Amino acid sequence: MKKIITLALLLSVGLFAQKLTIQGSTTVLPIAQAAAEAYMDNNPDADITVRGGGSGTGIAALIDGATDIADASRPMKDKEIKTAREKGVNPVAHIVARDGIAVVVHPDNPIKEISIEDIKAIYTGEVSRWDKVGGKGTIVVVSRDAASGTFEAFNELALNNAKLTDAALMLASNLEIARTVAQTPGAIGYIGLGYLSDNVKALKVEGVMPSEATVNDNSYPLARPLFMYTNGNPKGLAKGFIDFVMSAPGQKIVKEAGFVPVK
Amino acid sequence: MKYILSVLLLGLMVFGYAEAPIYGYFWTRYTFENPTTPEVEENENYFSIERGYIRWKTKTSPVSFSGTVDITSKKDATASTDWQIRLKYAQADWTLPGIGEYLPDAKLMLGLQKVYFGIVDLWEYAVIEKNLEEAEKKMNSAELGVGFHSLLPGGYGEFSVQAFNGNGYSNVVEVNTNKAFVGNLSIVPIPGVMLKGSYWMAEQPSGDTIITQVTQDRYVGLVQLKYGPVTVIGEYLGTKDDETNGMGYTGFAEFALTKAISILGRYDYYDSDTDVDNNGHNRIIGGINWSVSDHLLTQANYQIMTYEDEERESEDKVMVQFKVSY
Repeated sequence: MKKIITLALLLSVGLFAQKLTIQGSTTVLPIAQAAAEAYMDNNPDADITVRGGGSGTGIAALIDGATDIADASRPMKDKEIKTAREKGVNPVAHIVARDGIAVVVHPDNPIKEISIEDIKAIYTGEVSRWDKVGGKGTIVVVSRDAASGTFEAFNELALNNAKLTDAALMLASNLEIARTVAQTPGAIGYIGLGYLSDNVKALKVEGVMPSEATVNDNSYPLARPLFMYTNGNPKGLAKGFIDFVMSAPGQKIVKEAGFVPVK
Repeated sequence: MKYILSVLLLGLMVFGYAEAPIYGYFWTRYTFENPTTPEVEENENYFSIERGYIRWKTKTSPVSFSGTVDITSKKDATASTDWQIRLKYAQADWTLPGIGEYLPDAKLMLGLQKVYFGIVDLWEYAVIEKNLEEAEKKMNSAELGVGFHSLLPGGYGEFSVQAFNGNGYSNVVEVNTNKAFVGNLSIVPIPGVMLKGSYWMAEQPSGDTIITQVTQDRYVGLVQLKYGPVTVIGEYLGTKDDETNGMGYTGFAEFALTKAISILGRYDYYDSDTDVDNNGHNRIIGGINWSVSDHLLTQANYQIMTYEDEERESEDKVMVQFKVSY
């Protein structure tokens, strides 16, 4: 009898569980995953599935009705908005975090600031010595691997999608970049704001120091908003989840994931 | 004109080879037709490859190149002459800088390109039959020429103007000194509602020579509604070939039973000369689509044509089609 009751309870939980699907940007993925786990811990009836795939994939899934929330590290394109509207989908953007990318060098490097133009020249291989931008010695270019959202953002914001030099050392995480730059005197790298420490020196970019304040007031040039898109104003579980991400505990998750809270 | 196409293809190969993924579709169809005339006693049934698209598209900027080769077979194709390979699209898109905020995605289109007209550029073969304009041979889906296309700000729609030779993509060589012009505007005032109007004007040869030219007008008004699992499209088509006025309309509805399965219906009416009594015909289509996977769509349609001319018998057929995308 106990087995039957247990099975019935499990079935009833399954039948009445509220389901939510989230899909999209790999940059937003750590926020969405951590927030979903925290939300489900507090709401056992909620069944949230989180997938990556990239911003374009998530937006396409929202337009096709295959996901409830699309994570995106860029605003929707006009073409995507038009397609969505034609298909009866009214995309509503929720800025849940900001992504600030700090350009870092070894602490002994005398350089204190850098321009976007010089960053591009260094990362495309046009400039290979620090002498040309105010330092000394050979530059060791360190980058995130091409599959990462941080690479995608840096490539767009700093390099204007130019091809990265073949000499760049491609690393798999922010931590690895911070560690490599800290141990290599001639190195230059870029990391999320949450990974800054005294072991590396963050440079001013176009005269602005990276910080939560300069990212949030849009004065720091290597920053972008991160979005969660819903079809119309969110309702039910989607509303509960978005509200949670925007709440103090949700924004704490944002910060722990290495991004800049918006509240 | 062959030189233009050659340059476009060369551009595609030179500038785009590194990042020009190949993709496309193959439609394999089985058709079972009932006899259409008393003289034909046996049913006809055959396999065919109705369309096989091999596509390229480069990611170069501000000029990108794209091309589509279309492979089709005649029914019961056996000999090599039963196959046809045509260039359907060979296009260079030049994104126009500086007006993106006011005219998002504005671009100049050069070459063999999509015709923005009524349901023609919207039709993705939800049912197997061609759209009304193409089924009645009143419009081609691709033409050779130049065009300007832009979205309206805020995702509120799009517009385009194009100038073509006007002979379709099967016969891109100019046989007509006059050009065809087409304008198109679609507006999405609220999500799920699209209103569209298009106008085509041309002077075309009345036969194989250019001795006699006839004026040609085409115009459509279209409404598309989408809400949840329901899609409804209604279109009115007006045609004028010299002094001959024609008219028609099409209604299409789709209801998605699940994310993979939908049922569909369509009704067409067209009368090529409204001054002639009992000249029109009706086309009724019912079908079901099953998306077996992201790469395989299975379609089954029943289609019947009836004629206002009582002496002409109706024609019906069953078609099953597999669309494989890669």
